Amino acid sequence: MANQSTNLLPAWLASSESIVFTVLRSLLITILATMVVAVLAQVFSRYALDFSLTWSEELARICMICMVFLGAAVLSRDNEHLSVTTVIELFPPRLHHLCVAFAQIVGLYCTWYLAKGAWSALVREWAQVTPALQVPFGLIYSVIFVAVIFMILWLALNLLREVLIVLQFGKPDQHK
Amino acid sequence: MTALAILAGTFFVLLLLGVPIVYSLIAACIVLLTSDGLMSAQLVMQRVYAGVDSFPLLAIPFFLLAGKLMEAGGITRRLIDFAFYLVGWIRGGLAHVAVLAATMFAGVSGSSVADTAAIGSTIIPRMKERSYPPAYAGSVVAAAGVIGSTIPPSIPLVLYGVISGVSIGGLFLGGIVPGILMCLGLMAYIYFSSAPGTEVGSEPEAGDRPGFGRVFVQSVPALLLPGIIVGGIRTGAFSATEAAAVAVAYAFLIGIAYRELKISRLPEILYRTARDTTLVMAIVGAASLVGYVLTIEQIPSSIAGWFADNVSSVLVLLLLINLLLLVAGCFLDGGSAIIVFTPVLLPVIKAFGIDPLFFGVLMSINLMIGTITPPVGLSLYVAGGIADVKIGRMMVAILPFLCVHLALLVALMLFPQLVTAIPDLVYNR
Repeated sequence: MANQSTNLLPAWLASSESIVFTVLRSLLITILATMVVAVLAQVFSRYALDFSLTWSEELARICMICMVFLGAAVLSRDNEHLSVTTVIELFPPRLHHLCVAFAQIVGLYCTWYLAKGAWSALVREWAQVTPALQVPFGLIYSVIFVAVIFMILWLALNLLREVLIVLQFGKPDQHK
Repeated sequence: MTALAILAGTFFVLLLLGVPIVYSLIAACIVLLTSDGLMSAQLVMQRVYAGVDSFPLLAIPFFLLAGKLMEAGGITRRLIDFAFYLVGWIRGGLAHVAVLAATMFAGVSGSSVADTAAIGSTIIPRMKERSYPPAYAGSVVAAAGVIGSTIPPSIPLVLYGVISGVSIGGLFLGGIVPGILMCLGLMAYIYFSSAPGTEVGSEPEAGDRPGFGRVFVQSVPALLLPGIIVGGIRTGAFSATEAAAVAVAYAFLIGIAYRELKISRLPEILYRTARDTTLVMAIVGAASLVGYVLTIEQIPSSIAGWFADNVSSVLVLLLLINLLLLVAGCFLDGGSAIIVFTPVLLPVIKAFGIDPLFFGVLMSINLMIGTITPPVGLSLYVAGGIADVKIGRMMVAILPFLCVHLALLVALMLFPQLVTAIPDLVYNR
């Protein structure tokens, strides 16, 4: 529903937003494909080569974490996280949009803490590395932090959009 | 108990105001932690992270992907053709075909909603063409979708297995008999409700179709998949996650062999799987925070204590828990309910000597019935969307099918052997 009123936003914002979206989409595809290949490699290597891979499970888990946070950002973009809309759909349009705006505010409330948490974990665990792949935890938390920042940006954009819509209701002879 | 009131109160108010489940859960936890002076952003982040960081849970994206690949590879159409030969001639016609096809597709997909979408998109338009009432067509498919997460593989059972520590292979085996009973129950209801002269009475369908032999041969690969998954896990050849990855490779190869799976469609399929996974896993992360908050507030043990003081019979306990879960399933999606309730209920049922494997299957079926109950009945929305029926009418049309599922739930409570017989036999428990 958010995208119906994209025209309310300035062009530069809309186009940079869509670039970010395209990049995240390709990242999600790559990450999921990597997960599948890693776990299949683990099975193949164990049976065909009689050799147990040490890195595959860890790689797949790291991919999953990155995918979920980046995916959650993409889902925020179009308000696609699972929600119960049965009640607010009964509301008059203006109140309905106010509720959608409120949902973005609650989202911002949560993501604010998530961003703070991700940042402090990033700083604290920067130098620690994962056992098999020696990936710094800081790197994983950086991905999470960036994903949460995108979540915040999209929530803020949606909030702005909903507020603009609500304000338009105030003008005479619109949305009648 | 004030802690529970704050947590549940905040959650439900936010939920009903249309705030996404994932934010409602996190915000409720933050509010409670703040009021107790225990709030730390790092702790919140860490719990969400820990909830998602699990190798067994990787089975979820893989099973979702395998189902989507099978669908893109044309397996849905073949299963429907096959089901048509087996049951299309029975009174009730296409409705039986829908139920049986959903049951067979259940062996490919681990999710009720995915099952509903896959079968529904093909069969609901066909049922409408044959002048079945659209709300009836939608309800048949939505109700049959519940089988999707009962017959292995099953995403809710993966979640339960990860949290409870019960073997996922054992849980999968436990879902087989209830899944088949569900299929038979729905078919029996369809048979009796489509007596000649009733609104849905319908002739068996005939038409130009490929020969039975070919349809059967082409359906076999899909029908073998649950066997490969369960067999692979049971013999110790694979973990559940590896079995799911093998299922992906298998589905991919079948799609290529049928010459229907286009490589150019792969990115879109992967993207949609990643999104569907995130829908589930974001809530898993949030729910793991809830689980942690419940524990530090000692809510599970006080609930277990309450049950121990006030309930004496196992059957009454199961009834109470199932009523609670049915109500919860109306508001929460099944996956989040499993993550929130398993740590709370596990100590209770263990204290009463109830088999955790049996309980897991029961709980999963109960909560998956929530996919067809308003207001958060996802399958109801999906099927209603395909059938082009208003959700209000779907809610009425689904009622008799809901009763079939509830009857099965009661039967399972009375006869736990229906769930445990196969796992007992296979695992020598």
